[in-house]
Amino acid sequence: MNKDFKPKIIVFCCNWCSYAGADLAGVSRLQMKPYFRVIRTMCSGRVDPEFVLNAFTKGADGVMIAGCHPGDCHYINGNYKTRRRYLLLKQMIAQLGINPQRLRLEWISASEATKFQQTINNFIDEITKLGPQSQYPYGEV
Amino acid sequence: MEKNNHKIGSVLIIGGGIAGIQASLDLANSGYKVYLLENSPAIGGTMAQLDKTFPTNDCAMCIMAPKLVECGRHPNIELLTCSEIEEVSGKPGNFNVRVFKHPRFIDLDKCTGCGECEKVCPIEAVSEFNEGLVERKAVYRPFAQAYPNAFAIDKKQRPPCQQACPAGVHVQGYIALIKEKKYKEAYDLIRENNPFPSVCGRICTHPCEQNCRRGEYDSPVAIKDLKRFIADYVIQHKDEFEGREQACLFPTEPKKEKVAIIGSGPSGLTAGYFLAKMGYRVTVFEELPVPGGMLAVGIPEYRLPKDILDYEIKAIEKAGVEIRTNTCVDSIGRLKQEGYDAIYIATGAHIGVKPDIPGCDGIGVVDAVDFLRSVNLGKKVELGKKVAVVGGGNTAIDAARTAKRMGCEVTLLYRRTKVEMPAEDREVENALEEGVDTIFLVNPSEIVCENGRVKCIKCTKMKLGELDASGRRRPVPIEGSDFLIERDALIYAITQKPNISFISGNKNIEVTRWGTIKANKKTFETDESGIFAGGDVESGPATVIEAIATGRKTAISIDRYIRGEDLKEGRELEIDELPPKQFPEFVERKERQIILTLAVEERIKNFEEVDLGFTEEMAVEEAKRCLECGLCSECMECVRVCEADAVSHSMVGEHLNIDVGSIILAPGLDKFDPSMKYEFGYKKYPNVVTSIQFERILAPSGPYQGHILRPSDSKEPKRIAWIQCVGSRDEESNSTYCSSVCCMYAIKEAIITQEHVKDIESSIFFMDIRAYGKDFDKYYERAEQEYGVRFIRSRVGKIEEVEDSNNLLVYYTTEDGKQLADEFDLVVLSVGLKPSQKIADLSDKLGIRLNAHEFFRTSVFSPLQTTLPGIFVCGPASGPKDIPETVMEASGAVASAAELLSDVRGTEVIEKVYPPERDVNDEPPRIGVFVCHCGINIAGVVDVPQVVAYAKTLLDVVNVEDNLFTCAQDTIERMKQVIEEHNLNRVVVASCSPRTHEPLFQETLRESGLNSYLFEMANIRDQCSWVHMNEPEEATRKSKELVRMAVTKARLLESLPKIELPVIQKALVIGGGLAGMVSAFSIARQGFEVTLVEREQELGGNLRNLYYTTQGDDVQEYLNSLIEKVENHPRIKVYKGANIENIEGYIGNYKTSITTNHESRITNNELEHGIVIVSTGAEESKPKEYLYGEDARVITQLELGKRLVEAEKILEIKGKKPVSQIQKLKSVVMIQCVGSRDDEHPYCSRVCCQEAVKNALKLEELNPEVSIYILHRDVRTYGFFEKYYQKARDDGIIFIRYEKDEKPIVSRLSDFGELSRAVIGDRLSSKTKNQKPI
Amino acid sequence: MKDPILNRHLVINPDLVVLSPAMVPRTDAPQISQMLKVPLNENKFFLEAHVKLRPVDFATEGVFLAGLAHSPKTIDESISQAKAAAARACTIISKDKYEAEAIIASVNEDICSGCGVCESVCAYGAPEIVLKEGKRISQVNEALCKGCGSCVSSCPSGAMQQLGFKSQQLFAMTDAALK
Repeated sequence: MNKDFKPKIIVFCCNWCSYAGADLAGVSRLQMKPYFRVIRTMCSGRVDPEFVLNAFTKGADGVMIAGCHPGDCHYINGNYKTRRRYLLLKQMIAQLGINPQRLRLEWISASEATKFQQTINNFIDEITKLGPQSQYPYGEV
Repeated sequence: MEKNNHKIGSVLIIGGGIAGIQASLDLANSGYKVYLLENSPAIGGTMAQLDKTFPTNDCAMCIMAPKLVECGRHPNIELLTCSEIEEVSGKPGNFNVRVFKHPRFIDLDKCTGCGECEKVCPIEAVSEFNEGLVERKAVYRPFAQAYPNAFAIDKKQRPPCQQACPAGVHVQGYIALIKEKKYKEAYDLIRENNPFPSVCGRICTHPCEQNCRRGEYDSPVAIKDLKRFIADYVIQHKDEFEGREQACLFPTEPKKEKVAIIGSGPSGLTAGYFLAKMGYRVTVFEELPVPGGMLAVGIPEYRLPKDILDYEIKAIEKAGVEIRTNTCVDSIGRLKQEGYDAIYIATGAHIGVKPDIPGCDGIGVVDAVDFLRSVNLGKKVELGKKVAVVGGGNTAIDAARTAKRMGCEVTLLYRRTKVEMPAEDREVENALEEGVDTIFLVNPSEIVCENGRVKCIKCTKMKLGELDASGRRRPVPIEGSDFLIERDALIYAITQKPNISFISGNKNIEVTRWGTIKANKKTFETDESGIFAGGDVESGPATVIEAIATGRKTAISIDRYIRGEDLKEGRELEIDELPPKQFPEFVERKERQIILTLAVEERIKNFEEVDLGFTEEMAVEEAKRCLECGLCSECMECVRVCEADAVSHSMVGEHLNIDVGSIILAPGLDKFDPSMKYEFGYKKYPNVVTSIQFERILAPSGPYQGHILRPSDSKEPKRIAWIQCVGSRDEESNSTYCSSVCCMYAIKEAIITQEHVKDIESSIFFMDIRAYGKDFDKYYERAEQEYGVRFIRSRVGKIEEVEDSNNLLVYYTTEDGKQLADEFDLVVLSVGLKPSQKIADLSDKLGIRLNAHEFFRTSVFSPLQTTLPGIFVCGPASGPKDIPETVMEASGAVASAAELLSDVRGTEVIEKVYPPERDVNDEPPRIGVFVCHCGINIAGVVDVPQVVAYAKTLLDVVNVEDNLFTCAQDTIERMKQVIEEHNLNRVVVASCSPRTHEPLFQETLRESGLNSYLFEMANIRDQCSWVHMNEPEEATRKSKELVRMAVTKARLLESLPKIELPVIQKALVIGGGLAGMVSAFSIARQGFEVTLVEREQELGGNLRNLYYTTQGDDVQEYLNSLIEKVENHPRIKVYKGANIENIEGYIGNYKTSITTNHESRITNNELEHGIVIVSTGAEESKPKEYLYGEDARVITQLELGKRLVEAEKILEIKGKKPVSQIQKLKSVVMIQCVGSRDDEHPYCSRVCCQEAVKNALKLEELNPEVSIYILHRDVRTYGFFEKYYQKARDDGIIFIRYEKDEKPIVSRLSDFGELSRAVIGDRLSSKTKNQKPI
Repeated sequence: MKDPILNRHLVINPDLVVLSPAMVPRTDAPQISQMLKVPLNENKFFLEAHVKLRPVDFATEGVFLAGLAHSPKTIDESISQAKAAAARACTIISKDKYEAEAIIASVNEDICSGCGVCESVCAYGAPEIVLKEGKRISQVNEALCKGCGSCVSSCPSGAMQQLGFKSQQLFAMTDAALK
């Protein structure tokens, strides 16, 4: 494992729960490793499989989708769609030669600051162990 | 028209919980101005404290937070936090409300919610939000997502120590800072009021300590010694602190005006110090060769070393005060001629008053002041060998101890006893230790001289007589008791007076008969404007701290005088409006620390300082003894760290007058305090918690971050018990009603617990499970079947703690009378809902009546109307209820208020007008980036200049700025300017979270003529600087990337059109039952046209079959009047016998076709409307079991109701003679849950239990001989219906419980014979008085 | 049958048996539900938009709920709820315009194949397949769309976009993060 490896991780957060949970982690000063970049969408249901594939294509070492807990969705059931899509996506990236562990789906509520922190740190650790994602380091699929 | 007759289109809502929030939003969104008043600093109420909500397990904060923000930012909702009602007058449509807004001490407009103040605050208080499980600071935000997102300072009455201090030193503050080991800060804090910390730490008479509340428990905090410790520490470390002088209270810009001060004693120098701090040019004139007045020449060096005094005088000089020693001022007039704008006379009282007895002119008779001055100035004084000192004050003791150090044999003569001595106890003790002799109850009557020198003193013995003006017993000479003592010298220390010869030429300055200068006691101005006098020259001999206090007050007066302001106005802090702090009944005993002193034999040899002070360890220990009476200690640390300059400790409360058309009360609930139920051991056993505490334990934002831990040892419990009905259905705790929500929240807590930790064993001890709401039963069943929650039908007698383990033994009695005990790691008491304390308060202030349970009184047909017209109530203030019912009632109350005010709708609201939007879609992007420092919140970690430099390199970025606070009002104005100057068409702000701040910046864009969607935010605080605090380089890199991401997106942003759809302002209501009619009538009264469609030929629905309510109201009378009102309302069109054929459209635009079949004439109608209300109702099902329909003796409750009414009518007509069938009945059985809670209808039908109880009671009333058996599965008489259940049991109605799978059997013995049925089970709580053998 | 306390059967011989039957929804509820495209729960009572905070609203804007059609309740509870529905209704009809969300889904009609996936994933019934000039295409009702973007990420042809969160905008952001 390369000690200097600083993974690039994209985290898609839904506006209502997970992004709020990330904010609360900030307000609570919960320290995290600085290797993730959050992209906000209104609902985790907006996270197009293509976003994930694009991220891996452009060299992301890990991608996380974070949404409301089942039943908590601000848009009734957007997160259920995400869950279905996620299972398919996992298979798809595996076929493309990307370790499916590099993709994660997490339910994080607006009050789960600690869960956000732990999930992020844990994911970063895991990706660090896996090392750089080298399937598509330079360009298109 | 008279003004008072106007209706006002605004509404006051009292209470900022979910009810108040919902009501505010609905009203504001329907065209009314809203004032939302909340006692606490933030809206959110009880719901914000909850972890999840039943039965959907939604995260409470997730669903609530968007409402908090929406409510807080709504242009027509004015939040009044920290406020309370004082008085209400007026009438429906026009009320005048007086509101008191408590000071928050933090400016809402400036506070950015960064939390720096909280970090430095030394004071901890119980966190109400976390139900006392953890502490919060005195400066706090109730919870992280609170709205307003600003802090508040919890300040109680000014602490007694500070009140007692003439100079108003922030005693509690510097003590708190010692606890934090912030000694320099403590020293500077003292200097805000008193430039002599070292002096006062040694010789102050410390009235603060006499008033210290700790004295009521054990001994007062050693305040003086603590002050000395701070001063010593700072002097010892002075090199370290060089240049770190600070002051928060006074401005320092230099001024041209000059002030002269006569006298360099404590008062003069204090005044000089503060005036210099304010920027004045100050000159102090001192007659003596040394500055310091009495401090330098009156106090012996063993109490106040010269170098210590010099240090503080030097510091005053450093602040800009010029001291001219050896300079005698002989005329005030000359000073004025020299151009001094104001003059302060503080010359003290340096003339000793001689006793008026023979021989007092002899050599060796010395005045103590002269004596001490001479010694202090190093002059030689000859006393001889044996010296007598006359007096009992500190000066006498000083003289005696000084004489002792000069090798004399000293005797102190005092005319009262030791107890009455005005000198400080410690001083007297020291003197005695050092060998000073005392003779009490004597007074010299003659000094016998020989050769003009003192030889003997003739003394008269005294006795104590009546009380005098000072409250002490007056000494009375005993005749013939004279005796002689031989002495070489006599020092008298009786009293002193001022020398005011220098003003003799000035007629304007009045002199009192005591020879002091007369001045105003508040401002210290003399009769001559611009000339002030204070200290001993004004007051006569007094204490150092009083002189200092006067000096400071005079400085403020002089500043006001020079600036031409009123000297008196607003001088006193109006802090007395603050509430007193609650004190614990028990404080652990801990005596105060005793300072170190020099050994006696060392002392008397020289003038070395006697007191050695505290060690650091002792000081910190002693500081911890402070009880923090003011809560906020005013240590000013928050002021120091607040970059936004938002803290103001001098903020005062505000009285507001508000005119509103209606008032909605939503003060919420209180939780039952189980400490009065001592058998459960709450507060005695750490692992007994309330259900609301358990909510906080479950909450990820709670004290244990969502880990289920028990308070005693922070270990995960394995077995948890919930005890139901704590403070509900309980006469002992004066809450006979059912709290309605506890069964469900306990089930929820048990389920969530299982979701957190799989193997926790959960047990719920209950009487009935009242899962009566929508989908509640399903939830209950899941808890039992899926989550394995154990439900134990029982009554809990007591809880005992198991020694060592802190586990708890729960003793309970089961249904069948078995007495058992079970051990648990944690016990949760499911506490009931109590009427909020605010209800009683509002009831008093508004004159609104309460019901028997002390909730607001309402009635069945007007559930939202209080006893005063125009004032409505919603939520648990009128009875226990859950969140959806609370929210429903909130909207319902809105309807009531809007009905009242419909003709003034839209009159008080503001609609913001924006400049026309610039079309930028064809322009190439021109992006402006604003990078926020957020004080030090971002800039303390992230290298902001680097981020700014980087942002400048990004494509299409034309302007980058950094701001201390981007959200501050001045920056917002600046942003508008920049948008215009640089012709920006996209804006990126790199600061905090879009969730809180995006609307603010979007608004700014709109005000600048840009579409609000041409905006993007980079969250470099919440998700960067705050979470990567220890990695500044990485955080800077991440910030740059976040800015790059935002700019990249911004380049592609487009204007989004505002989508506005026309609305047909008419309503369609489907269903003409009770709900449909009420909805339609309300909408019509609110001014809109409504069509009401009913499939039957008559309006009324189920209500047509109901005759009276459980409470006894006449249903038919109400129904008929409602039908009449609905059918006759000009804005309501009723279609009866109508069918909806088709509905098309969407919000605002619906088209509906209906056909009516009225008296066989079929007509078609087309309707257009903007909204639809579905109120199609439900009906009583037809039972398929228990021989219903087969035997006429089996009927339903509705049918029984009808028979009862008929029987009642017969009774009325025929008088007493029982003739109806009802009166002939001997035995009646009621079977509950027929078709409910079974496989076909797995829900509770909610109304049947009360219906059965209602009919049973009525039946009993008509036929007292009848035996009634109610066979049930749980009796679900929730809320106030519990009263009727109680009554039914008291009246002998027998309740027998059966299990779902062992239903009763009804069988026919013969066609004309009796029915029989077998029953199993019994219930716990029945109180049968005439139960017959079966 | 046995009694747990007395351990024997209980037999009562009454001369009247009164049953408390279940409250059941009216039989025409499903029909109304279909016409208004608002859901029922499994017991055929109407299902509100949110059990806790939107108890009288439907997920479909502009349609409200009151009384026993929601669930069994008492007279005072019905009255409160009916008034609540009236108040909620008046937040809409008190204005002559309804301001819809701006961040909504929008269809590129040239690309849309009218497959109907969007229609099936939407919880609000915003997209609808219509015939336009003989071609099946999706049309988004601006009044109903809440802007979650679920249909956008489900659209196989890329015809559906979410304003303010267009795919190219989010792609660009991702690219910028990974540069």
